[in-house]
Amino acid sequence: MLFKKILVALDLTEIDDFLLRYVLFLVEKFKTEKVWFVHNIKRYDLPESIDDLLVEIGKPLEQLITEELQEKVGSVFSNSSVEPSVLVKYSDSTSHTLRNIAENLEVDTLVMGKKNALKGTGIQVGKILRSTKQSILLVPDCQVDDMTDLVVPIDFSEHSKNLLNIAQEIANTVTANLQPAHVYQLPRWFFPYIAEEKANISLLTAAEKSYQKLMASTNLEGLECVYLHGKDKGTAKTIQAYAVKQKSNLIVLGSKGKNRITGLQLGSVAEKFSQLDWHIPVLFVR
Amino acid sequence: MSNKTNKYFDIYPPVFYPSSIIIVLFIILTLVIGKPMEQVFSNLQSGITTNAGWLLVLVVNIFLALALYFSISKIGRIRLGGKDAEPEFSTFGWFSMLFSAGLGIGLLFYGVGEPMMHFSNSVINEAPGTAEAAKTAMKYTFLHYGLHAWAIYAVLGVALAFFAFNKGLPLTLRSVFYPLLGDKINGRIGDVIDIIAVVATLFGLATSLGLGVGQISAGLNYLFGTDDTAIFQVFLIAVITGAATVSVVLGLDKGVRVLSEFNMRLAIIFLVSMLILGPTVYLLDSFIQNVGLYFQNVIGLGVLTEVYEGTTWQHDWTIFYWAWWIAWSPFVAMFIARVSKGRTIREFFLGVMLVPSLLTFLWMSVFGGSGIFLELQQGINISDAVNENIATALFVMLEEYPYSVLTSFLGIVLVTSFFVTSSDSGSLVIDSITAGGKLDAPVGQRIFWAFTEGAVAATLLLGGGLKALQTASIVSGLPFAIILIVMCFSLVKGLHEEVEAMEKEEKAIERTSYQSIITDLINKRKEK
Repeated sequence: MLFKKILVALDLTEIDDFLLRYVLFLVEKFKTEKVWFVHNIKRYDLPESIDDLLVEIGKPLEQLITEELQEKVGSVFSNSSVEPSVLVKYSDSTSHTLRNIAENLEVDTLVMGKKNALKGTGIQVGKILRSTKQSILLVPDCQVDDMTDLVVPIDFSEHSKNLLNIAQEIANTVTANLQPAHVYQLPRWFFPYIAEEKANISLLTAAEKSYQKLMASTNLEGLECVYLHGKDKGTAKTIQAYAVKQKSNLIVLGSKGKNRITGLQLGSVAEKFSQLDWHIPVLFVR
Repeated sequence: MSNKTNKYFDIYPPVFYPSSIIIVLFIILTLVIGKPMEQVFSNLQSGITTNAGWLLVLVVNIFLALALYFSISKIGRIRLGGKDAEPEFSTFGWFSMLFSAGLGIGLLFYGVGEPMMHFSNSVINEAPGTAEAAKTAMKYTFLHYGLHAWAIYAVLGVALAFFAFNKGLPLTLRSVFYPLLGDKINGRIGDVIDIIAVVATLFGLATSLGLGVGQISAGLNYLFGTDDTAIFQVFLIAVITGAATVSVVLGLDKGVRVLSEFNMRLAIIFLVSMLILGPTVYLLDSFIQNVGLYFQNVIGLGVLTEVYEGTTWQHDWTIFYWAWWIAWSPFVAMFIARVSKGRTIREFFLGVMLVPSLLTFLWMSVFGGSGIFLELQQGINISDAVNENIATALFVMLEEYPYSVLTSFLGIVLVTSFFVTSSDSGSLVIDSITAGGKLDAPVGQRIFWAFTEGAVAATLLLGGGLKALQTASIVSGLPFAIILIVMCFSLVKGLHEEVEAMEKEEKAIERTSYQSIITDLINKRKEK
């Protein structure tokens, strides 16, 4: 089960407030056993003028940040059943630090903020997705209080089956609706001759069959899949648009998928997702 | 740059007038002097291939190395047109245009002819007509139409696109020299560079058009018994020019793209029919083996200079091709740059080099392979006819397979439509240069250039001199190769600066925001 041991990456910006609130929500809903909050100080990014300030105050930076975070976390988690820990590290690579801590503490989920306003700054999500083994939850910089509607993009592979099982478990825990979604799209540049409409119909029929087959091999019942036509937008953008329209508040993605040829490999879709602007939390399940 | 504008024309006088005058003068000279002119160029050409062949081989390999470097290194991340640029055309449309502009005609003209000629004549001391000769024939055909050829177009193309779309310079050849010449590109030197590009492109197109209608005419003669005469060929030029004019008037998206896609579809139908009607398994087998053989030998083949063999086979083939592709490169590169806005440099190189190369390999394997199959497996001689007139090679080969009337007809339609796309994309390119780099010059001007091209081709066809001008184009390949090498320095410099600026910008945003966060935090704690 996810969310039993959570590691939360904080970057000292406004997004930390949204993260703390969301993690508190997770802790309560999922009966989390332990949660760690970590900040990594990037040594080379600091100018010398900061040393002067530190001399004045008489404390090392590490201690200052720890105190600040303890205060912040403490105020949010004051009534929580879980005792949160604050870790402050010093290294040049945030992604390395996060990976090492996550492995040492045997956490199951890594929670990070995803900033929409400042594109491409902060923690490099793509890099962390590639280097860690834990599931990753990306929380946007806006308020998300609930987990009532889950969208799960699937490609009918073995991985999709596991993904649906995990998503169902989450949905049961928080009593949410679970919506499997499949994006079908003709890789048009390979087959310029096929009449598109006809091909789309047969793609859809094939998808429906694959879904029935997939369902037959699971214990999940009564789940209807929604089939979305990808047009030229690609899987990630299509799912995003659908989730926004449905007012979903969590997208559950697998980090692996079918082969590349169909253009539906969720691994690459996951990467695309981490680059998109969005306001819905995304969970990358391992 | 100030342009002279009215309803039909929007010209940049310092390039437009000198180009037009040079084109007219050159044609008059060629027609008046006649044979001696052809002899002069022919001597020049053989002088170049004999003495500077090594240089052309070296230059082409430098292009290939640079192309690989650009696509593998961080430079590949740069997006043509800036960070947020979106591709203008669908991937299929883009491939079609790349393909139609660059190689279309060559494929039809040499698809059967080249492998057959290598197979039936001795290539560098090798005995002709054997299984070994078949391998050699395909290897060299692939070399001439493969990665090296596309690397030339791609490197110049990326330079043009980068300086035009990322640096805001006009989309003309002069712009690629900006890092070296600075603002001087707006002066006389820049004008001269553009005039050379216009003249080279127009002559390149006109001579191919003039020589290429020979193939259509020969095909029609074979099919319908029409006269294979010069007058008939001029009529064909008029038809092609007319069609190109319509396409050019419709513009890049409605005309050129639609026609290129039509071409690509037709080409695929033609290819698949040949694959089915021909010895299917033999052709597929040969494709696999040819590609493997090519990649196994690509470096060795690419640097071959026949030094120990003491032969001169390469002069008429490899060196000829390198000079020819380089002479064509301003046109093809300008065109592929024009349609590649919004692609990353990595995508650009994969798109421009790999896809057309592999498609060409399949094409050559199927058409060349069908010819070789006849000779090697069936004992049917077609190479005599091919050696006699390479323009009819395709039809001679098709005749030996079922439904030859139908396939030959398809072949003729395809050659014609490939000519139209080359002609219309060429007119767009010339049009853009003579308008000072504007992308959408008025329709009147486009018609003017499409007609000029047809008129030059027709005049030379009737008055003689096509061969002379074609040789002149090839001769221009050597000086142009040297100019391109200079350009490479300019390009590498420009791209490195761009990558550094890109990384610096990303890092700087991150760094300043982190610094202010930490400073705020320390100040806040200080107060407590």
